[in-house]
Amino acid sequence: MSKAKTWVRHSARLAAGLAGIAVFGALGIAAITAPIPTPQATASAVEAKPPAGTTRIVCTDSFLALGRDATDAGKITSAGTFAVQHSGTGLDAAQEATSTFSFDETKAATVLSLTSTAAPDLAGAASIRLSAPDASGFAATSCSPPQNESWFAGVTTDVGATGVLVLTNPGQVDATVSVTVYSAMGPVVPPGASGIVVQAGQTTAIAVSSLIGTDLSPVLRVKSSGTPVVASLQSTMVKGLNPVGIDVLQSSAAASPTQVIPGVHVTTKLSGAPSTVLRILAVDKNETATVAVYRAGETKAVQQATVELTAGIPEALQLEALEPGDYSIIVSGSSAVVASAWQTTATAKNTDYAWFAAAPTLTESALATVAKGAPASLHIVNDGSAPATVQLSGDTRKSVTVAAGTSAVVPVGPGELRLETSDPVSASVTYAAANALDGLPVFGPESVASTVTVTH
Amino acid sequence: MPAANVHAIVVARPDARDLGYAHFRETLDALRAQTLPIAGLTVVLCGSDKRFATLANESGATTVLQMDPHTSYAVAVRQAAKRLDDESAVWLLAQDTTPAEDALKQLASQLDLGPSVMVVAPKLVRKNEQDVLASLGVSMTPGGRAVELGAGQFDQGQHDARTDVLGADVRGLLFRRGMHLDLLPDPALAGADEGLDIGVRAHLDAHRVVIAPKARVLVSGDGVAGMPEPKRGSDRRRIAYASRLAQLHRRLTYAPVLLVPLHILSFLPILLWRAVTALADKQPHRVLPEAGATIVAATRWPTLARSRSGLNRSRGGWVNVDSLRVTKAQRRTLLGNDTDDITNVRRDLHFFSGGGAWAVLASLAASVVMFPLLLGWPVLGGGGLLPMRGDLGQLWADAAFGLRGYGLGYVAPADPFAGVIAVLGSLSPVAPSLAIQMLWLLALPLATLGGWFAATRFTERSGLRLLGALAWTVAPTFMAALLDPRPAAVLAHLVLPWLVYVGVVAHRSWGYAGTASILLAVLTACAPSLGAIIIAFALVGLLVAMLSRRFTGAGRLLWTVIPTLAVFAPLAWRQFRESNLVAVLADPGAAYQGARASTDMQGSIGLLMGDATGSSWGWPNFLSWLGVGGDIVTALTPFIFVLAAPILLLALASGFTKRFFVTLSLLVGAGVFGVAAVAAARTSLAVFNGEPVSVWPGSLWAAGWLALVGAALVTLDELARPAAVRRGLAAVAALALGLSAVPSVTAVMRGEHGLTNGPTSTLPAYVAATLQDGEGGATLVLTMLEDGSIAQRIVWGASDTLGAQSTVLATRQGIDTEDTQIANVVADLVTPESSAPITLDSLGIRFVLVEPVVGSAGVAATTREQAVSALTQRAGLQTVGETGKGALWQVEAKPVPRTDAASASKATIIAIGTALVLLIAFLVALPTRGSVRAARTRPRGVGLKGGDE
Repeated sequence: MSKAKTWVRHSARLAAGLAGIAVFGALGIAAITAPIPTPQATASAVEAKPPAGTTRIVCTDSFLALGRDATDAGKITSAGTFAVQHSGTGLDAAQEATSTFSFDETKAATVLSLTSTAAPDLAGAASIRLSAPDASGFAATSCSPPQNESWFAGVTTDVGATGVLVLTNPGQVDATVSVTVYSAMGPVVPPGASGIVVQAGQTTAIAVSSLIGTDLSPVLRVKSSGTPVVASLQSTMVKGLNPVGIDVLQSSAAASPTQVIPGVHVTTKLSGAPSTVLRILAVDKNETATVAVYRAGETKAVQQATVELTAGIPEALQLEALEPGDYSIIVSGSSAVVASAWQTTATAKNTDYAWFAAAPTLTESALATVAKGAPASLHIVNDGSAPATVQLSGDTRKSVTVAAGTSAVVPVGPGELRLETSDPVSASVTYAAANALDGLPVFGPESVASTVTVTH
Repeated sequence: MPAANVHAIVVARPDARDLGYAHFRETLDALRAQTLPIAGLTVVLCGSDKRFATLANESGATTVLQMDPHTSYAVAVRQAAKRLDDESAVWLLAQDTTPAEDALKQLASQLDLGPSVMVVAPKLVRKNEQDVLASLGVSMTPGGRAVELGAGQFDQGQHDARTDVLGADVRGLLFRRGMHLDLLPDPALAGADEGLDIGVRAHLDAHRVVIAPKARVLVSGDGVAGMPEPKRGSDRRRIAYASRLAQLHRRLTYAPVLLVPLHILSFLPILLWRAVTALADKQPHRVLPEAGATIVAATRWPTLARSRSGLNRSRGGWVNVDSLRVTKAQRRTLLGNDTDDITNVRRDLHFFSGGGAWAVLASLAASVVMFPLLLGWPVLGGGGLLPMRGDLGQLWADAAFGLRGYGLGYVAPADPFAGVIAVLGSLSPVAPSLAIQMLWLLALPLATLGGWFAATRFTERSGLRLLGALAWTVAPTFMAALLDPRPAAVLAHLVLPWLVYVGVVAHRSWGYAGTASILLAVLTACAPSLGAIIIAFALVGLLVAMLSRRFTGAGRLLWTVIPTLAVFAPLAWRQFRESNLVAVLADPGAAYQGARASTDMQGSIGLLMGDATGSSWGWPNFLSWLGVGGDIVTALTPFIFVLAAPILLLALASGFTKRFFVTLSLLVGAGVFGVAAVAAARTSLAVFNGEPVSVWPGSLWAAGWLALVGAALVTLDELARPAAVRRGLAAVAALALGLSAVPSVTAVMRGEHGLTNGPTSTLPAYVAATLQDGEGGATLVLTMLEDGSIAQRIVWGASDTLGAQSTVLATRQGIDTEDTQIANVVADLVTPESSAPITLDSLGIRFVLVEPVVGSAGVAATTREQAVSALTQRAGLQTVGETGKGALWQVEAKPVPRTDAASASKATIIAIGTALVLLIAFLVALPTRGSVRAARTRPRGVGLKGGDE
């Protein structure tokens, strides 16, 4: 082979080698940096409307209390009857189909039912005022649809407190209920708290003391299988010889990373005795939650705290004494939490207390009924970033604009109360007087019936 | 001397060959130089050409006939012979038959043997190799097949003692004067077997055909008389057509009249059989011409009648013919006598002596270490693994067009992967799922075996082949696919090296092309995204072959992609009609996202290093398990990929070797696969439970890795001296590769894997038991998602299965009527307030299953609670209860069976079409004695001396 040929050969190899490295390198860099347009799949989802169904909401008729029978301290009897009212276009006189459910020969609950293809337009509320030596105060409840799962983050177990868990099954088949108690021991289903059968069309009441030992700040989770039930927690408290209040607590909004508790009303600033207590539970994961307390109309928190939460163990947070006014409390974490706030009017005599449950987010419209018996106000919290305009109609007509990050209080009269909101808000109706305190979250139509999104 | 009156007929065809003119002139010169001069000469020019005409006119020819270019030799000769008087003997010649000086004398002398000698044939030798016989007498088998008695042999006088033959090549035949015109070549034979036919006719008339071995005629194979020398593809096709037509025509001509219809009836089955054998003989070019010949032979009855009438007066003389036929034993010697000399350039494989076998054994041992528990598990599950159908019928039904295993009434083509699964499951017919387990146990040794064979294409050195086998076995994406697990990716990894082994030489032979075509179809079925790119590469190769005018090679390359295209055609057509053609590339099998590398720059770099799961080859977890502190692990993790550096650097250096044509294509290929892998990781085509599922980039990356390893092997292979450097580099690369796989090999022991023991069914045992008892019906499975929506799937049969998965369903976009229908049913079912009557039975649904959700709180848990209570309250549903796989209800009414009569014919057509293409591919792939011998004449490696790349 001639020298020239060898030279050509060698330069060809050199060129090939360099070209190989260059092409390979260029392709490698292109792979990493080039914005290659790639197809992306999306799940096709169908919004399906359930067919016509029967909506039932349950209104409490009797205030059930423990230990009113001198011969049987463990017996649960009725301490009084609620005044029930309802509103909404869905249920006119002709369609009205109420049935009553009795507990121990007492009329315990009324069920309003309605068959509708659209989201049913039906709401109801009931209130009661008691002034017995062992039970005195004001309580209000909403008529609510049955649920599979209810959270009660407000159970008082102090000395003098009694509580009754009332379960009503408006369905067609028996429900099996189990109660999980979250305490310092973590989640426990106590003996006798599982497999509680609530027969179709019946109401059952269980003394809370039979479920909970001495734990001071438990959280209850009521789960129903077979058919959903309506659960409420009716409680009374006596300090020394003085009855200091009654309350009916209904299920909070579902466990979620953010819990908004609107309408916490402070009548008098208290020093010394605790007046505002928050109870928080991280359901599944350990959590550092932020608690912020806002006064109505203000954007800056009056109190702020972080709470270290252990999964399954409730935490009680005593807030500093608040000036009289309306407050909202926002608990935010990164995983599911439940929270409730306890507040007392705490004047010397004729006091009342209330547990304020977290309210769900309302996106469009909601229908509520304002009960009689105490002056009521609607507390609207806008936790979002855009101002929300809320149009009130029904028996109270008004338009309110709630700036982002604030809340507003609107006095409302008894009767029908319709809300139309431009942006997501949370709201509750607070009943407050010198000797009356209670708050009822406003639920949107979603909690009754909604569309179902089905994908593949 | 009576024989002196010989009239020669020379037929010339100006457009036959480039050298035709020279041949013609030599032939005419040789005629003039005969020691026994011819009495007359007729030149027949088929086609007009000035030079030929001048030559003919100057040749002193008695007559020059100008004829149409399409005139056959037989017609030309007959036309010429008509003009002769009966007193002349006739000598048949063509432009390319150059008789020796004494040829005519020798021929004519044979006529003197006796009046029964009607035809005398010369000894034909090749003009370019004058010691090789072109023809020396033709006979036929008892079945009528023509047999050359000496063609292709070296002429050592071994046949010179022969006198009487049945027939001879038509070129150079001398006919006694006064012979009947019918004895001249029969135009119906299309040019083949003319001399044999003449011989048969002569013998039937009680004449003789005699060989004159001393009369030598040099022939060139221009194809003017007889068959051309097979230089081009068109020559081969012409030979195939003409010889088949001639054979069939002779069969019909010689047969008694009553048997003719029976013969015609037999043509179709014989045609099919010959197509099969042609394919198995790696002569696919024979199939179409023979089919044409069969049709022609069976239909031209007037021609047949004419040929038969020429024979009718002398049908009694078969005894004369039979005595000269070849016996079976003679025929075997004649046909089996392959005189092509074989230069065996291929060295022995050295699979055993080179350590390949030991590597496979070692790999098997590693497999036992890696999967210690698998043997005890009845069914393998987890990740993308699902059970298989329990019986073969259902297994294969899933692979056919028709109702899919999901949905209410989706009629769609099956994924080709379902066919692969069906074949795999059929290997273990009693318990098809067992095949998956075996696959997992044998995956490592099979990968080693494949990697070793692929490496033989790049190096002859045993040590380097072992390095290649190791690199392929420990490829990180393979490990990820085994541990995740992802069955389609594992299969693709096992098939790919074999495709490389045969694919890079597919243009050399039909056997390789056939094998490659099947392997490519299997690979594409397992990893369509990878298959698409390989098809693109094959088409580039095809283009290159076409441009360099290697049409046979191009044809073979074209065939390699045809079975794949055929197998995918129904699916592609369906997706095209859905305006979602790209979804053909979706991964088959269970749509499973699993752990993936992120799609940002860091993740992409990791992916280019083969880290498709974003786990840094499992090293961080492995180091933590060893007890190394978290900070050190974090600091070390980016440097893990250094272990791939030796191979990468060696591959990059491969362009400097003298086999750079090969290595440059390997580097470009690796780069393209890398880009494709990153793009694939960012592409999602399928949806499962409302979440998009990205394309698995591991198979694409593995193809790039194979190219890199090949390039690195070439670098080392070419690094001839010093040997110590080569061995050292190879050892470093091997060590780094071995080390890189330690976390993966120990992953199962450490419990870091997605493999699970079972389940035998993804549905509750109650469902499986009920549906296995032969009861029909589907299960509506609802999965509650964290965004509050509900994912539905309707499962037919006792479990979700691998084969039942359908990419048509998984990639469907938009909402069709069935989606809406099911959504309404689901909405109705999960709404507690609903009281509409249950319609599930009319849809064929027997069970409703609500799958468990993770976590006890949250939107999904709430939705589930609501759904469970709604279903429990529902009249018409019987609660079975909570099972380990979810809450179950049974529909009380008997479900309506699902039927689909309309698609049955479509399914049959598709199945037959696919089977036919695959059958052809298998026949072409089947190794035969001839194909094995032909393969030995080429070196095994690519880019080596003697190769043609």
